[in-house]
Amino acid sequence: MSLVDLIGPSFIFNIFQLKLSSVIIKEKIDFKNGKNIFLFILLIVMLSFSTLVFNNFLRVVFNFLCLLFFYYFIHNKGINVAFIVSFIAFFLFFMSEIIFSSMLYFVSQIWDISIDIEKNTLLYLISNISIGFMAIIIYRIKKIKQIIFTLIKNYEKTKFTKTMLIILMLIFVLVNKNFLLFDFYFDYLLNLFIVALFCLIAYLLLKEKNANVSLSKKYDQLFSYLENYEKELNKKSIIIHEFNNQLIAIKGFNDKKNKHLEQYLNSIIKDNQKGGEKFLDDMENLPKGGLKGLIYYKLGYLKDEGINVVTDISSTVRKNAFAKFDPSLYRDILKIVGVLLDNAVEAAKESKEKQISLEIFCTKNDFNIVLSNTFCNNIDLEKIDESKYSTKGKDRGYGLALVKQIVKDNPKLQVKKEIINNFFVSTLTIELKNTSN
Amino acid sequence: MLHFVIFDDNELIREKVNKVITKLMLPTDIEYKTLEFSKYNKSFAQLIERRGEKKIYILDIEVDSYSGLDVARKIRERDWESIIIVLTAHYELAYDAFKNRLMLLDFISKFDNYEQNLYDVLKLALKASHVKKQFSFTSNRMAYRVDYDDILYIIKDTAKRNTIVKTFSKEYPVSLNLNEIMAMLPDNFIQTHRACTINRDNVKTIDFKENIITFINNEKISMLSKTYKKEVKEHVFS
Repeated sequence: MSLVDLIGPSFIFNIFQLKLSSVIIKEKIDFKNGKNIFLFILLIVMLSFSTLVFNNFLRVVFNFLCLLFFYYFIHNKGINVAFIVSFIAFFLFFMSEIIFSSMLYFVSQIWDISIDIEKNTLLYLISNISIGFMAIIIYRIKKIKQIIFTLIKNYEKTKFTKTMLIILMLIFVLVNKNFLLFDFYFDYLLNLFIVALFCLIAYLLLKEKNANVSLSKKYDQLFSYLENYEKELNKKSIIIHEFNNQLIAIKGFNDKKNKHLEQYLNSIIKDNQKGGEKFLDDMENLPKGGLKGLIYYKLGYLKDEGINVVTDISSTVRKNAFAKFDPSLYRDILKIVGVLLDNAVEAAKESKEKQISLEIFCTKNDFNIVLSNTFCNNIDLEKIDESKYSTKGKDRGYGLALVKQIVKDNPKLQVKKEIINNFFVSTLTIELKNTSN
Repeated sequence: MLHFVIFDDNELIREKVNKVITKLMLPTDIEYKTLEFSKYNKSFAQLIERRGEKKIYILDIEVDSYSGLDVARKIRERDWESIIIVLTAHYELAYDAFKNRLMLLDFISKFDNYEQNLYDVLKLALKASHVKKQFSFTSNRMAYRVDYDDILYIIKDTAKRNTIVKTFSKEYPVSLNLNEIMAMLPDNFIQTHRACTINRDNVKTIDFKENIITFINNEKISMLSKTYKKEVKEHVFS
């Protein structure tokens, strides 16, 4: 084997790997930097060395670790990013290799020619270049780019995604034999089938998990605004109260002398009492930290959309009810309430009667949030808990699956769903005792 | 003995309600007792806890410390037999949700022909005090509560291998078989077909020639078989 045979493929492989990684990370690699040049040369040497020394199985593991090491130092974004980028780059090359080798096979079959890449260095180099381009093209496919983007975004926060990727990596390593140099026999087809099957399973599992994570993140973003929103609501409530007091004072000064003024003032005072202020007053006793803001944000303006909302916040509810709660538990509670409120609003909107009622009350040991809403007839009540089940179209229906996951992870929370005549009733029960952990 | 429990912080209202009860109960020979509460206290809590007594509660929704709905929730923690009527200053349509969830007999507005309405509802309560009102069951981890009066018919869906409970406004697919459901139904439900049972109280007409049953909402089903025809004739229009 000549030096070109040894270094050429590694050089081309590295060039495309680097290009791909910088496209994925959206950051150019600075080759004026001595450290980067050194790392690049080192990587070429390592990969060439692996071709000489290791068999297929060890070579894939070794190459992957080299890339991981390289990305870690060259991109300087931590081990998690280095791992995910190495994985994606490896995966894209792997897929391109499969496609390219299949194409070669069909060409050889159609024109009845023998293509032996191993013995033809030029053809081997051209094949590597083609695979490299193909990997970049695959990455540019909108759907794949989107999947990769979500994967990178959610990767660090879920153990599940990490585990799935490591399993996938192991499978690649186990089934990987250089497809280009591999005869197109039964083993090849079997490997292809296994890879395709595991990719599909991993894709479906990750898609579902990522949807849950995305939804959870969406709520997290919302909650970060809620505390400020709540403060604004309290200010608003005080201003309205003050405004009403002023009106009552003016009414007193008038002392029924001017009947028109009296009527006008009465109508304004009445309007204020039955509008938003009543809704805010009802929620006065709710614990601080987001619940009040969330409820007002989700239900406060529904009257304008023709939905009839009624709330009953019991006097048994104390402002400090959640004082001993761990902040993450409180966030989980808000996430559940957010999902239940969103679902109730959507279902009520589609129903004929358009009614929502919210009850919040405490019993001896529990804090209860009960949400009842009218609903349209087209929901399958027995599937409602399942991930992806939704009456609202494609790529929806992760809310209740998220609720299910949160409840599963936290024994102090319980969610019950019931159908009572024309109402869908969801009850969140929060155990108040020993909630400090 | 039947207990009427009045819960209102306004003495005048309590007096008025008391008068309505007296007016209703005097002509009957039912033994009854009226208890009045202006706030939720220990003796009220003990009364709620007492088992084996027939009770009709009349609760004011707007009580400062512990509202009528709080009391209703307290009652429903264990007691689903007692009848609850709620008095309110302004009735809102969405209160229907509370009505359903807490099995309240009715809401009565304090300003709208209040005494007559209360009299009518109490009369109904008296009737209903010994009749089981709701069909409760669990299917695939989902709990259902449907008013018997609301059910038109229940049919077997052979294609989906489940049973459908059809009410005036909705249909509920249930993964219990028809026989299991029929065992839970009161006498006003009669079987008309191997795969169908109907609520006779909601039947408008039956065409025995064409085997078509028409319900009071004008919905028609042709689920009348020869085997059950005789029994249906005897029971539906008896």
